[in-house]
Amino acid sequence: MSNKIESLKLLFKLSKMEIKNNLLTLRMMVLFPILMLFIGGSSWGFSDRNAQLPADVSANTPFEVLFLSSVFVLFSATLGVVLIGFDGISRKKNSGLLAIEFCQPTSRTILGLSQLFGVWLTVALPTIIISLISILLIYKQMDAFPSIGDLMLFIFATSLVLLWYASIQLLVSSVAKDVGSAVTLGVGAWLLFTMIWLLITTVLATILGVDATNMENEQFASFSSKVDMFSPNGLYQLLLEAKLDNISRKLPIWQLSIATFFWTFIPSYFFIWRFNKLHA
Amino acid sequence: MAKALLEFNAVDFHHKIPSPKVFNPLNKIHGLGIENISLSLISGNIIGLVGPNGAGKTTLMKLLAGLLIPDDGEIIFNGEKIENTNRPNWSKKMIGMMPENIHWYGTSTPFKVIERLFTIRNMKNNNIEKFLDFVGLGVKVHDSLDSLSQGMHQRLSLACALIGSPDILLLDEPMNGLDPVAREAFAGVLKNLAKQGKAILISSHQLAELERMVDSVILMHNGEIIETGNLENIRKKYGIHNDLILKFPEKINDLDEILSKGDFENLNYKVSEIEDNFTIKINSPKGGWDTKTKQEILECFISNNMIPYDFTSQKIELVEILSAVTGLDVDKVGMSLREKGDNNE
Repeated sequence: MSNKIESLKLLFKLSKMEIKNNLLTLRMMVLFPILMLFIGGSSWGFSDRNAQLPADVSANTPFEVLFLSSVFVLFSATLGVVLIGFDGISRKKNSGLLAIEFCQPTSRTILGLSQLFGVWLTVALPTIIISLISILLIYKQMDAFPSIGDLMLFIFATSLVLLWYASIQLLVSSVAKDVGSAVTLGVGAWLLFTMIWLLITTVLATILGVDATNMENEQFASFSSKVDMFSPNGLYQLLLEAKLDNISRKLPIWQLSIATFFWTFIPSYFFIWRFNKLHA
Repeated sequence: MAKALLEFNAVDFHHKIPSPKVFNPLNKIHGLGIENISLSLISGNIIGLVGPNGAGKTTLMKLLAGLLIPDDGEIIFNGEKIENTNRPNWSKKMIGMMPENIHWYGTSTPFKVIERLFTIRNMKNNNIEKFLDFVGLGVKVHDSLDSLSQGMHQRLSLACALIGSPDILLLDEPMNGLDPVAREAFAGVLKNLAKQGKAILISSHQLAELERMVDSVILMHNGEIIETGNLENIRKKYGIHNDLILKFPEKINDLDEILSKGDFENLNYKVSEIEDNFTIKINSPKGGWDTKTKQEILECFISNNMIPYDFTSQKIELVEILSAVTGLDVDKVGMSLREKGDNNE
């Protein structure tokens, strides 16, 4: 028991150290204003009652504003995880530092988890803080706060999507042999889920005989919600949609729970497994 | 009596090389590695691990450090046999590893590097400055890694190996990038550590630099240990002796005639002429040089008014020892690449 507590203490210390080191990097200096502009700016803009939003998009409640801002979280914070984590393992491996760390009398699982928490929380903490600031901006514009439940769901889902990305990034970083392949794999994984996923959904729908020419139809909405469970971005949106009333593609809670469980534990498990097998 | 801290008995290891196939993209084959390695690291001993590039020195170092898992063989720590696949933490605590060519770069500092390793080892961080001072980085504690010289990077790597005062030190090419003064200091530090009872294994492909500091050497070639023991004894065993080198300020035309005046048997020599330097390299006789023969050769030249400005013995290089031990030609030993590896799928 005391061994486990010692391990947890060590994990906490190492994660804290990792976060501190990451926060003071040039990458973070670039990322922080981007997060501020994307998340804070979008919350401010979407909550402006006089704003004319394109494509009949409307945000009438604070949570709807947060839901629309979540698109900007996907474009900024997840990219932040890519920036911080794409070479998290490959850089140490190529420099030889990983060999020194692997020689130390500490389990590789703890080292790997600290790396994972380090990358995740480096982006998640500023994102959550900026999201909380956004709540104040929304209040300023709409004179209303989201409910505690809505706020918790937003923070929970946002934290999770960043954890999923951190696991994916570190997993691909452990596969990369050099900086070039680390960038390619890291950014490639981000592009796949952020830019190309809709194309994959449409192609799959066409192959399986679902009408993909009209994205408004119910059959396609139901199909896309199922495909989205296999994408971190899609699942993030589905989790937030669970709290919206005027959405037609709701999935049962049990399906969302299973997908969330799998996305939370499978990529991180694979990363830790790979980290334990890694040749330094 | 000094005790064996770490023993390897008949250890085999082969690298797994990706060899994708149409129906099995993750297919791997057995590549090069090391075979049938048995050695003991004894408390208080400094052992040199010597071999040409690709001999398997780094692979052996990584196996000893637990970074690679042997395919076969036995590992014994402090008299206790341990599982190949799972090294207990107490055995990891006994080892300090300095890998080859660590690229220290970025805005981090030696302090932060050591602080992280102290934390990983669950050690208190209150004497990091003192610790870095021991390896000569006392004044560079908070400088960025980018601003440190290659020699200082090596010192930082050594500091990493010394954390936790391990009983066994594995140093892979530690002299790379060190200037002669730093090398001397480094040798002194290692000798002191050996006196404290540490077992030290240093790998290098430069025999001369190891000669001054090691108690014995392990000679590796093509993934196998081909000879072990004291360097002097190895030389005696294989009849390897220094060649004699004489340098003259001008060319000697009647060299055969001059040397034929002496009573020398089967004297083989080579001459080379570069600008004003005329150099004669006389190969050592089978049993080595005796003082009298050397004197006679010198007298032979002086009596003919040929005064050498330099009269030395050439240092024996690794390639010559490898050639003697393996029985291969010097050129072949130097240039041949390994073609071993069983390629078993």
